[in-house]
Amino acid sequence: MRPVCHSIRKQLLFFVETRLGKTGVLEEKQQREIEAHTAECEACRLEAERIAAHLNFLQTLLPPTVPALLAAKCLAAAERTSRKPYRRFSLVTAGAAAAILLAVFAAGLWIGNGMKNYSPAPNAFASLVKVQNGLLDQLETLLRKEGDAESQDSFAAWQYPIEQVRYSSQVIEAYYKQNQGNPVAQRGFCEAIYQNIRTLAGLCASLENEKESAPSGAGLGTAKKKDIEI
Amino acid sequence: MMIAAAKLQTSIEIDEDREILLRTAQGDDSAFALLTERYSGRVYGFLKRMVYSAEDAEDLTQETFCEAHKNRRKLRTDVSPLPYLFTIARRKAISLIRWRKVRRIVLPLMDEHEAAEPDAGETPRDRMHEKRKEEIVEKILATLKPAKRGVLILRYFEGLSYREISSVIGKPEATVKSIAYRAEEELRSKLSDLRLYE
Repeated sequence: MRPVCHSIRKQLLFFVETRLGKTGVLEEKQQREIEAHTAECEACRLEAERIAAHLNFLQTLLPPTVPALLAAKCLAAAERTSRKPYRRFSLVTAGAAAAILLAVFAAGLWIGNGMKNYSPAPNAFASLVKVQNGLLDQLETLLRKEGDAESQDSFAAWQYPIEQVRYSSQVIEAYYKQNQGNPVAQRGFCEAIYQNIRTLAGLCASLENEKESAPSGAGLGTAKKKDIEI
Repeated sequence: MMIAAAKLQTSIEIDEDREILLRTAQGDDSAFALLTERYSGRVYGFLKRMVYSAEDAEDLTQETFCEAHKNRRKLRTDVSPLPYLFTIARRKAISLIRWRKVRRIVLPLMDEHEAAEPDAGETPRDRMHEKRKEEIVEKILATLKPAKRGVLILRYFEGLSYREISSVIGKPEATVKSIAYRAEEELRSKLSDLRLYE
C-alpha cells in the first residue's frame, strides 16, 4: 500500500458516507481529493465499494421489534419513581436477591444436617460485615478520588453493583438478627456476606485493571482507553 | 418534490419536539408522555442492540425514562432529546455490561459452529438461511467492545451525526470518527466472513 493510500483509507468511510448522502462528514476539498485518488487507485476504489456495500446492507436491517405497551410501562415506572424515592432495584432484582438468600439458607440447612454441633465463631458474622464495609468504603473512596468532572459517566456506571451489594447486605443483616441462636442459619448468612466480599473484590480488581489501562493522569472517564485507541 | 415533502415533515417534527420539550421542562406530564411515546421505541432499539437481550433492554428503557422524568426540568429545549436519552441509555447499558463481566455472566453469542470455517459442501448462507440477518448482525455486534458497539449503533442504526454521538459519549468528534472507522472495519470483516451480502 502506498503511503498516500494509507492516509486515504482512514478517510474512506467518511468519503463513502458523504457519497451516500450524509452531510457534514468531510470537507468538500477532502472529498474531491479522495474522489481523484479513487479514480486512479483501484485498491482504494474497491475498498470504497466494499464499505458502500456494507453500509447499504446495514441500512436494509429492520429495527428490533418494540415490546407491546413499552411507552405505557415506561410512563408507569416514571410515575412510580416520582411518587417515592428513586430506587434502582427492580422487582426482578429483588426477587433474585430473595432467591439467592433462600438458596444460601437451604444450603446452610443441608450442610447443617451433617454438622449440627458446628456453629460459626461468635464474631464471625460481625467480622465479615466489617471486612465487607471496609471494602465498600475503599471502593467508593477510590472512585471519588479518581472521578472528575469529565468522568461522571464512568463513575455512575460503577454505582449500580455497589448499590446492589449494599442493599443485599442490609437484607442479610436484617435476617441474621431475626435468626439469632440458629447456628445453621447463621452459617448461611456468613456465607452470603462472604459472597458479597467476593463480588467487591472482583469490582476492586476490575477498577484496578481499568486504571492500569488508562494513561497516567487520566481519570476514570478515560478508562477503557484501550477500547478507544484501537 | 419528495425531498421537499421530507424536509417539511422533518421541520414539523422538530417544531413538535421543541414544543414537547418546552412543556416537559415546565413539568407538564402529558408532554412527557408524548416524549415517551415518540422515543421509547428508539431507545429500546438502541439498548437491545447494545445489551443483546430483549428483557434487559426493556428494563433499561424504563430506567432511562425514569431518569429522564426525574431530571425533566433540566431538559435542554433547543436540541433534539434523542442524544440526551441515548446518553442515559448508554450509561445504563455499559453499567449492565460491566455488571455481567463482574458476575461472569456469558451470553450465548456466536457458537463454535457458526464461527467455524465453512465445510466444502456447505456455505455459511446455507447454515444461516433460517436465521434472520438482523439477529446475526446483533450477535456479531455483541462481540464488539462496548465503545465501538455504541458508536456503530448510534451512527448506522440510529442515524446520529458525529457531533451528536460526541455529545452522547462525551468524547471529541475526532475520537468518535476514529472509533467509527475501526468499528466499521471490524464489523465489516466479521460480516464478510458470513457472506450476508454481496
